Amino acid sequence: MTTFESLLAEDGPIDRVEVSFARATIAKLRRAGRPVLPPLELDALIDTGADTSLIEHGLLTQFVREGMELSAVVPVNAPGLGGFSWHPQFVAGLRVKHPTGPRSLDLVLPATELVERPFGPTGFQVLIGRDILAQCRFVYDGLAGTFSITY
Amino acid sequence: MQNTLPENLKPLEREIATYFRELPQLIADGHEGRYALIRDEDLLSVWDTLDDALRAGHERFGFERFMTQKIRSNDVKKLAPFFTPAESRVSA
Repeated sequence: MTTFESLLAEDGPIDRVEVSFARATIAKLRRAGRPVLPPLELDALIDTGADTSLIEHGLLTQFVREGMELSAVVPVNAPGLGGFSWHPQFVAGLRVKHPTGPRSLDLVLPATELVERPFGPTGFQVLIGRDILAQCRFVYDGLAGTFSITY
Repeated sequence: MQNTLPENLKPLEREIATYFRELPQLIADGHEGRYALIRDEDLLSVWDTLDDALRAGHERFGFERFMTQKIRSNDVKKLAPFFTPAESRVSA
C-alpha cells in the first residue's frame, strides 16, 4: 500500500493528476500507427460529495478527435447546476501523482470514466469523485490542515 | 409522458436503449457494478473492469462505436422517462 499526505489548499484537498488515453486505447492507437497525445497535467479536487469524476469542459476535445471513446452515460446530480441530468462519459487514463515525485508511487487508473462539465472559475480542472475514491482510503484532517490518500 | 434523449447522448442512442432493455435482467443475474459491452441492439458480454470491457470492444470493433456501460440498478428508474415500458424486459 502507498500513502501520501498533503496540505489542504484554499479550495480543499487538491492533487496533481495526469489525464490521457486509457491504456487499452493507447495500445489500439499504436497498433494502428496513429499518434498518441501526451497527457494533460492538471489540478484535481478530491470531492467526496461527487459520485462521478468530472473534467473541465473542452479539455478532452483533442483526445476525442484522436480516438478517445465516448462509451457510456451517467446520471449526474448537481443541485447547483440545475439538478439531475444525464451526461456522456469518456474513457480516459488517469494518474494521481504522488507529491514526492517518483512515478512508481503514483495511483494509476488504466481506464476510468470522466464527464465533461464547465466548472467556472475554480483552482482545479478535474474533480475526483467517489467512483475513484472507492479504490482508496481518503482521510481529511481539518484540524491539521492536511489530507491523506492510501491506495 | 416520454422524454426525448438529450442531444449529447444521441451518438449512443441505440446502445442506451439496449442497456435499458437488458438492465433488469443484468441486475437479476448479479451483474451490478460490472461493465456491459453493447453494440447497437446487442448486449455482447459483461466484464469486471472497464479496462477489460474496453479491450474487448477494441478487439471486436476497433475504432467503431461501442458502449462500455457500468451496470447500475438505479439507472432503471432514471432512464425510464426516455423509454416506453414496452422497451424494457420488465415493465415498471
